Amino acid sequence: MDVYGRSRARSQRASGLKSQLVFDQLNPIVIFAYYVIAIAFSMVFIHPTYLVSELLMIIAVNLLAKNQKKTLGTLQGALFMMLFIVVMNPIMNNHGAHVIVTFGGTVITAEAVTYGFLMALSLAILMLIFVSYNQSMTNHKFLYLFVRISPQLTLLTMITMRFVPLFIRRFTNIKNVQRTRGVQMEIGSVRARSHAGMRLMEVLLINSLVDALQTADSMTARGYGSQKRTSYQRYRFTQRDGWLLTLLIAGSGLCFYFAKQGIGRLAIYPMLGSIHLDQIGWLCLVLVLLIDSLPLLLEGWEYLWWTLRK
Amino acid sequence: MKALKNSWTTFGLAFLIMAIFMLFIVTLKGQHFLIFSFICLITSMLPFYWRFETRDIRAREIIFIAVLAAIAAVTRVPFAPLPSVQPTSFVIIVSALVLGPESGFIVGSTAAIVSNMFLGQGPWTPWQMFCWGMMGVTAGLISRHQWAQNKYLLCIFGFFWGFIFGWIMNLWYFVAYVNPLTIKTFIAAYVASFYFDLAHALSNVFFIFFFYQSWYRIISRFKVKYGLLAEDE
Repeated sequence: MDVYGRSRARSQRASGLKSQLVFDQLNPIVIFAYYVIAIAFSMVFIHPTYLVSELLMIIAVNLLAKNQKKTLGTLQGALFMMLFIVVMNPIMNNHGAHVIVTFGGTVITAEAVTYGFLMALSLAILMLIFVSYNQSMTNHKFLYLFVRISPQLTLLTMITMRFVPLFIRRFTNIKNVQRTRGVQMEIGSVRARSHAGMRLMEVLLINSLVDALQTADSMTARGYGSQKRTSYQRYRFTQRDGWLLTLLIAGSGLCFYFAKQGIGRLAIYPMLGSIHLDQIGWLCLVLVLLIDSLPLLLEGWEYLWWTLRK
Repeated sequence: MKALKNSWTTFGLAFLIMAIFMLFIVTLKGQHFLIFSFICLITSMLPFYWRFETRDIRAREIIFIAVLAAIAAVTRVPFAPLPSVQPTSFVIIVSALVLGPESGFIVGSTAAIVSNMFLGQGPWTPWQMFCWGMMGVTAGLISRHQWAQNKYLLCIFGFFWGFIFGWIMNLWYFVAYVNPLTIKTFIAAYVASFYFDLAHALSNVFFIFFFYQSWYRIISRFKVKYGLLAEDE
């Protein structure tokens, strides 16, 4: 768990290394909308053609953000869960018209197998969307979304977030001091180690509470809570953000309307339907892919703009 | 007395929202189950957040809750070498016993979201927020009764929550991706995760048994000394 602020290296953002992707520079509202829509698509359109092309698209989006390692790692990690879904579905469910094989009273149907594979694909897409999300939607951006809706909660989350690395540093100090008294977590049985760990946490709790309440008093002394506060806006909502958000909402609305008509959803139970897509199905697919590929499109647009201007 | 009524109202509202969406899911006969399960989860948490947001809260109280949530999140780190032994649930239960259901919910859900900010967000984040938040709510609700001071009963409470937590966390991927939902499905999912749930439950019992009294004393001392989050006004 090196992620937990053990090193004091500055974040990329703090050292002035802003992300070079156009997508990352959009307003957080647009970025968040994109992810919500992408996740919804992966859950609504349960059809092999849709899911495979969505999967490819989200891999491309991850490659663009130079997430190769994480993408592979996540796919490996999700493999077990995917296998579980693929295996469990036919065993649990014996509805369906096309029986493949029967053994020991369990009927394996083509329908259940198909369903299992589609669901596994959907899960893979969901996991990969989150790889990209963790990269593009930093914690600052996430909290920005809620600053105006719920300032108290955002403040609370911010403070808690700041406490985590601080407490870990403090905990290391406490651990080193207490070791001289014989309280240590490194040796002994699980029980003894948990006991020692909890003693250390107790010291940390008292120490931090005393410190933090002093901080709170100094906040009050400087006027926190005396009147309604304004908030600093880190991100601007530009015209481009407005256009993109409108397009995203309109496009996805149309897609969801199609989905409600039953387009882009393979009929599985009680009998496997045809995989064939009609014209509206293809149109809907194109729309879904256009929305999913937003980061790629933006990057391509900037590239064209740059080369044509030269 | 007023505070007690209020928190039951919040609880009831959350339950009502959940029931409505459940009905929705049932009438849709499993179609789009996945997306509605997420919506159901998130909307059922809204009443609690709304209560927190509209409360007139002082800087001291915000910081107090933040420290408890951060402690709950941080405990995942030193205990990482011990598999499945994580006192996060214990910290949340004790905090809720002292502070009541609403603050208990906020401590639990904040601990979940913040620890995931460091470990990576995923589809499991809202489920964890929900589980730990509800753990706080239930602990807060029983705290008003005298018998909640009994260590042995609390151990049983912690034991059950260890299992419930595991079961709800299984839901997010297993029940959503395996069709249809039968008793057999549930049993298979729970047998698969039995070992981990048992470890969680036993570690809850262990921590409550040995540390409940000292932690309860510490947190209530701060609450009384600084006059924080007094419920009965």
